[in-house]
Amino acid sequence: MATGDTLVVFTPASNLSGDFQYVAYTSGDTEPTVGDTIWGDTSNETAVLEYYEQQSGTWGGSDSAGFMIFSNPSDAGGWSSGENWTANTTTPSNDGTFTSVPVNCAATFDTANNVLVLDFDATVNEVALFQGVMPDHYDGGGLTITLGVTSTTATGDMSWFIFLKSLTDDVDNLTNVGTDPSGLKVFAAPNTNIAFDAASVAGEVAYGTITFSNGADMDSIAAGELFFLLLMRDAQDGTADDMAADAELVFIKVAET
Amino acid sequence: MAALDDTARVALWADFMRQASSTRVDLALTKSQLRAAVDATDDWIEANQGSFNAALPQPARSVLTAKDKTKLFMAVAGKRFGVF
Repeated sequence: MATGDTLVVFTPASNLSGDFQYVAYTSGDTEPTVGDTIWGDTSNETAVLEYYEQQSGTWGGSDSAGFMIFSNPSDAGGWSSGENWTANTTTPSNDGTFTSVPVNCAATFDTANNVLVLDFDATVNEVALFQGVMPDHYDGGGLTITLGVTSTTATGDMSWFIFLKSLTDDVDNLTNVGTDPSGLKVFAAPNTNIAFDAASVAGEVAYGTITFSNGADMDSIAAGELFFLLLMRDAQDGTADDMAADAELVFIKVAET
Repeated sequence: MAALDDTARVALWADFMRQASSTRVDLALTKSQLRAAVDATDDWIEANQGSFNAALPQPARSVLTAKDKTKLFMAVAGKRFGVF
């Protein structure tokens, strides 16, 4: 295996239609943990917390505000707007408050001149999920993941997050069995490219990279191991991501660094 | 008619970007620049709706509802600039 050799390529057609949801929160006073089950104390809806980001305030100050990404909602249309939420219990303790109804946030299929692309919205964070198996010839060099993105504009830039999750043989839980989804294996912390420039001409494909070190940084994905890649455009961050158009993903290349 | 609140302006701004993307129109603006244009447009309507109404001749000024006048404004402006 040589440095820079391609390990896996994902196209938009490889995307899994995940049941992910996005919601902003405010008035947070108890910090959750990724993997927690978040319960809506009005709707009785639950979902698994895949990622959250505090953007202002503090948990201790009861004014933490930011956003959350959920998976496995118990009833995709069941949340109530602006309801309080609590982690890991259905006894309401009001850990924070949603600012709206959690919305489905899977990137959507589109075409650009007959080329299949995945559209990521300009205002709401959207995600796409891909699954692969790390080739046996991966030699522990870490990963350099290249995104190919086009758009209808050449103005501004994008902010991209990549989350990785390994599924180790006979260890990690792939599905939620029963009513408690909290045993699911969750994604490791993301690595980012928050200054991914739009191509210099609308319609061109811009290439940009996100790197991962071997080991925990890439959730210790081993050669021959099943893994998942979750790609998120952090569109709600209008400072880092100021491109006023859909980001249209054309491909993802996973190479050894 | 009051100016749009922030939530409505955000929704309009997002829809405008989605529509431009889906019709493959290049806005050549950043999000914040487009949002400023949304705010300025709504502010201009708020400041000038009275003079628009006063410019309408009778009996249209009295007969047409606020929605009718809005449709009229959109139809004329759209025709002038080739939108409709």
